[in-house]
Amino acid sequence: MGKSMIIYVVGVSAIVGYALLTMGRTSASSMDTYAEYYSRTMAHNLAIAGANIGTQRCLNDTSYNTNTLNTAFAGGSFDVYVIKSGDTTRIRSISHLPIHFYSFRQSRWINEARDTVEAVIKIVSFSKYSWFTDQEKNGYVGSPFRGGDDWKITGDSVWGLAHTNGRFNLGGRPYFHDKVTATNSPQLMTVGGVRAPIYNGGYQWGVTVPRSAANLTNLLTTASGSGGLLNNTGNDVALTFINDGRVAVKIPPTTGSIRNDTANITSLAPSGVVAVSGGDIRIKGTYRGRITVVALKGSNANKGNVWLDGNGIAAFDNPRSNSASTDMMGIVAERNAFITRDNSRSEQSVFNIQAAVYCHEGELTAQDFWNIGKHGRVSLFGGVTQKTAGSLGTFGGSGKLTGMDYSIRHDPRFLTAAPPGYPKATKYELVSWYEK
Amino acid sequence: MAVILDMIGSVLISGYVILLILRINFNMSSASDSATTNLGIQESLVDAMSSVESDFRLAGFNVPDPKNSIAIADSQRIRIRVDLDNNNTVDSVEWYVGAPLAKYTDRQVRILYRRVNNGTPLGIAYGVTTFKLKYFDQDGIQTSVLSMISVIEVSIAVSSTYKIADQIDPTQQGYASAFWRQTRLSSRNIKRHG
Repeated sequence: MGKSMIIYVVGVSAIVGYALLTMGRTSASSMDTYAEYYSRTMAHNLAIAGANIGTQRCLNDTSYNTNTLNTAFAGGSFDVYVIKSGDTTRIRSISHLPIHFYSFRQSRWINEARDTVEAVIKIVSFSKYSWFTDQEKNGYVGSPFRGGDDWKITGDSVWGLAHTNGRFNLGGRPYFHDKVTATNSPQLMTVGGVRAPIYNGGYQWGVTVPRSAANLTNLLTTASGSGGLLNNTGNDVALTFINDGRVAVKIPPTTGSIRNDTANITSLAPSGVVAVSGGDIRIKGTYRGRITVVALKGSNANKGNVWLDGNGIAAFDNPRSNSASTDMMGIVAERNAFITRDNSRSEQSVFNIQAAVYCHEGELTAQDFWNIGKHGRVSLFGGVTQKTAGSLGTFGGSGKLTGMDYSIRHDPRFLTAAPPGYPKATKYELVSWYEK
Repeated sequence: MAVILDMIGSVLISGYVILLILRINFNMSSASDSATTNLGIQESLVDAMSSVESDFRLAGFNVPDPKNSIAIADSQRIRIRVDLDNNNTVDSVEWYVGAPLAKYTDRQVRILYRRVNNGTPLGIAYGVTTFKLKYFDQDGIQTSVLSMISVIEVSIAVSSTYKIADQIDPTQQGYASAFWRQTRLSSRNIKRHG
């Protein structure tokens, strides 16, 4: 009996020992699951911290290009690499978290957790904005409304990104389809008992996007370097775009005494930029291809305007119906872009602009908008970037009094592409953030 | 006589020891089963939530208009747009739970699926009893407007498909379960300007 008892005791001990060992391994596996998740999360957060720091440095200083290696943080470290390529900079952050545990799932010792986060920042083109101003005030010299606040009220809508380096003036319930940014929070006004703008794509205040005059110098350089500088002697230029890819050039617009011919867009502006310095440009018609039309003041302070004549300027391959259209135009005026007064227009008239419009010192406006009849509607498919908020008409309690209605729809192609040489911001902007 | 008594005594003692061993074995098996099951659902939950976190944090990556980063936002289904493999092609990733499995009649047990580009859905977690999504705008207000979604709250509970013994009181039985909630899941790509 004594011998059998020993066998029993040894047997029981072996069984219990094995069971306890199995349970111990299960418990360890449970801890392993927790440790793995913890270390992965910590490594991920470390990589994010590195990417945040690197991105912020680059956003604050566009010339920053220093790799920061082996920065100790929160029990680990991260390496931040700054990789520049043209207007784009990549900030790659790789974290290292020293750990030491045996992973039953991976059947190996784990000594380090790593993760990578990559941010891409870019100098973006102003064409991405549907509506951009430095200040939300009327700036038409000679207009009785000059200096008055521009208000967006119930019934108004902005489709596409909207920004002002001032503050928006919003009455009632205007609608912003896409994200709205501004340097200052908006001035709100109650209209019809309502004081609630709709920011469908969100909003952010405290954002300032400076505009540099260097953009204009660059455009002049590009145009003159490729034969695209049409005139710099103080004469105005008229360009009538023909829907076969050609453009009729007339200098001056009234007589054509200096130049009066027709050329392909590609030969007139090999770089895609056609410019006038010291004069105005008048444009109309249907364009084909990619081109940016530029009017600069030069030595003539009153020049540098673009005049939109006729029924406007439209693309041959309509980008409204074909988002893959390769026809794309930029209109850049150092001063203003005017919709030329045409008293033959009626309330049923539609004036088309299919382009990104940029006015450095002025605005996109309708000539004498306060002093004309009801001239229909302006349909802008693209976007406008201007110093002041150009008006197209006057409005009262009963609706429009004079001028034109405004309809702006953003061309989605401009989110990722821009007309040749189109002005760019001077600061980086985050365009993508890759983390897994 | 003494031998017979020894034999009877030895049979009684050995019987008692055998019963003891069987009892220990039963308890050990229950405890082991319970621990293994708990471990299984924990691992299943960690794998599922890691995948969810990874996808949601990437939402809107390389999508030209970040406003379009989320295509469907229901309480139990979400479809996000993202360039998953960083090849400048926007993919769609959908997370949802399937219908309750018919063989579990006493409660709703489902499978959590992940589907890429309308391909074949891949079951990510089995035994999902809760998969709830809530959406908030940048001010922390709950919203159902896709373009205004800035933060996502995700809750997942995974449970065993069979009952196990309670680890403290083996006479009681219940389902092993694990729960995870991420209350501030957001993507930088959604918040960027455009």
